[in-house]
This record gives sequence, C-alpha cells and structure tokens, in this order.
Amino acid sequence: MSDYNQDQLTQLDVQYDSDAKTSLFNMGKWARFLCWAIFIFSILFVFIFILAATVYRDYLGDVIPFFNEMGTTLFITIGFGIIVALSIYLSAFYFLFNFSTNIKQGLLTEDTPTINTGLKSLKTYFIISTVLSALALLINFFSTML
Amino acid sequence: MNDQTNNLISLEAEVTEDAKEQLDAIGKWSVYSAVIGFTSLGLTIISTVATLNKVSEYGAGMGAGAGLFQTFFITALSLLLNITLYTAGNNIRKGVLNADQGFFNAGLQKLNNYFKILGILLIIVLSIFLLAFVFGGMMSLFR
Repeated sequence: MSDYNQDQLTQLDVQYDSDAKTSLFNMGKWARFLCWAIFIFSILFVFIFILAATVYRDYLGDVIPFFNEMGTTLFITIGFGIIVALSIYLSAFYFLFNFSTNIKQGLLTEDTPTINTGLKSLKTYFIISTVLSALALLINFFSTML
Repeated sequence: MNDQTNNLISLEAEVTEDAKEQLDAIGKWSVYSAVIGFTSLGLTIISTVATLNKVSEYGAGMGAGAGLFQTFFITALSLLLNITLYTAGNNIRKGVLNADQGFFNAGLQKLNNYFKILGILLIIVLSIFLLAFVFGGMMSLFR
C-alpha cells in the first residue's frame, strides 16, 4: 500500500487532536484534585474516628460497665472494618491518581505507551467504582426491603 | 499552564489500537456506572416518598417539606452527574467504534465535565465542612 493511501486511512481514524488533548489534560487535573481531596479526607476521617472512639470509650465506660471490659475490643473491631472498607474504596482513587499522572505526562511528552497506561488506569477506576456502586445499591435495596 | 496547553495543541497523535480498546472499555463501564446511578436514584426517591408519607401521617409538615427539598436537590445533582457520565460513555464508544472524531471529542469533553462537576461539588462540601468547623469552634469559645 502506498504511503498516500496509508495516510488517507490514518486520517479516517480518530486522533488525539487539540480538543481531545485539552479535554484529557483537564480531566487529569480535576482527577488529581479529587484524589488529593479524598486521600486527605480519609486520613482526617480515621483520625477523628480514633479520637471519638477514645473519648466515647472512657465516657461510656463510666456509665455502662460493659464498655470497661469490651469497649476497646469493640472499637478496634469497628475501626478495622472501617479501614478495610476505606482501603477498598481508596484503591479506586489510587487508579484515578495513576491516570492523572500518566495522562498528563504522556500528553506533554507525546509518549503513546504512557497515555495508554493512563487510560488503562482510568478503565480500572471505572470498573472498581461501578462494582462498588452495584454492591452499595444491592445493600441499599435489601435494607429497604427489610 | 498556558505553555503546557500550547504544547498540547501543537502536537498531533494517533489513537492506537490498544488505546481504542481501553477507551471502548471506559465508555462501556461509565455507561454501566451511570445506569447503576439512575437505579440508585430511583430507589432513593421511592424510599424518600414512602418515608415522607409516614412522616406526614404524624403531622410533621415542616420536616416533610425539608426532606422533600433535600431529595429534590440530591436528585437534581445526581441526574446531572449521571446524564453527563452516560452521554460521555456513549459518545466515546460511538467515536471509537465508528471512527467519528466529533463524537470522540464530545465524549472526552463530557467526561472532563463529569470530573469538573465532581471537583466543584467537593469544593462546596469542603467549604461547608470548614465553615461548620470554624462556627463550631467559635460557638464553643463563646459558650
């Protein structure tokens, strides 16, 4: 096939033109902001939980003797559950952060493999967030039914 | 930042087969995500209406009004987000599968809007938290 014909075929396909690149680049910026905000929020949430658990364990221990004996175990179990749930949730944002880093770098250096790695991370983010949303929907549905 | 955007505009790159596969999957999963969002919204509306009916039986008109306003606000935001995500996914898939640059660009633009809306909502939520924290602190100082 001649070079001319090959060029014609290439032009028929989709390309990263200036609009597409600007959209992807801005997407990367907003995604990075979202990730940082979620990471900071999560750390604050865990910190506030530990603080609240300590205060409530002491307070409830004075009122209900059960909390003196089992309070620490109870709060550690709840805390462990929260950390596990948070880790699964944050794994989605880890991939979004990866997308943000790779897409910006890939577009600026015009490195196709880096762009592809970024897109793969965005795909994984959507898969994890969709599965988690579906699980939340199921839990919500069954709790409403009960 | 302007320099970076100018660099982007000056370069042209082809969407490889691998990238097309990823973009197609992104489109597919964002449509699934939006559909789950719509279903979740429907369930929320049904359960809120049921709760409001129960509340109004006890004559709590003001509480029901506030609940209705809150539901309306959440519904509007959720609809906006899920419609944007649904359109983005559909357009990206159409663009990649039919080699249509217009749909492809529109899809990416919509996906960018989706992340922008999420970011702006997060800024609003953070501001409310910050205000609550500051007012809470001030209230405890003056008590």
